[in-house]
Amino acid sequence: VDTAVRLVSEETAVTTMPFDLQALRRGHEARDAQMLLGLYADDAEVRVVDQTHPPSHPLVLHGRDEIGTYLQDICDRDMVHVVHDELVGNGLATAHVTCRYADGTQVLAAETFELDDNGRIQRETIVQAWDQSG
Amino acid sequence: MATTFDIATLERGHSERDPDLLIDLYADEAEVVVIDQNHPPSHPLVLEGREAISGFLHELCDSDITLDVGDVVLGDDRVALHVAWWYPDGTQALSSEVLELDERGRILRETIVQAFDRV
Repeated sequence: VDTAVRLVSEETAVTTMPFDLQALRRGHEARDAQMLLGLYADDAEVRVVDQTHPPSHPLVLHGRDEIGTYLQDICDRDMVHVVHDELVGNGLATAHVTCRYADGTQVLAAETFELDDNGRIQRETIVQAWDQSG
Repeated sequence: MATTFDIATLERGHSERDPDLLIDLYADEAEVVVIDQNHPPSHPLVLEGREAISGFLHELCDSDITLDVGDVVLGDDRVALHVAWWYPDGTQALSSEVLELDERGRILRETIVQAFDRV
């Protein structure tokens, strides 16, 4: 039974894992906005929900230009990014990204990606919270 | 290890706001970590054990809200999902959750990152 389930699991993984988790991980670790932007479809949408952009009024980014600017801003900040808790399946991928500033304050972003047929990010939802600095 | 997590019960427990359905999904020694603007990453709310988690779930389910589970991703030993909360006045909350499962498919550790309209 375990073997059969494992085969199904592997088959699912093959067909639903074109998403490049390695690039997501490396892009964050290297703070390489261009590498991260390469994961998005041209008409991608990113929705960010946090204490300054509550669920009723999320920050919504349309297209690669706006998303690229957002990613560049994040990558320009002096902090260490760690990607963890990745999961892929069902046309979706999820990951948590912890960003730690030099003073020790942290941001935790829970990211959910809806993928297109090419495994590129069509729509992303980010729910995040951060330490108040100082 | 394959997922034996009871996602249908999780969905029903939320839609019916039934804390007793939800608490059965947790291992005895489960831990829930909640991160939001009131409980930032360096100082999360940490609930240890079923009694503390049950109190948390009862408080959630006693609220006059509609809970919708979506964006479920089932892994071998983990599950990720969103829970959208809707209050009668239209205000919302959104939780992004990762559930780490034990070998019996029960929740051993849950990490919730959430944001809400209400301060």
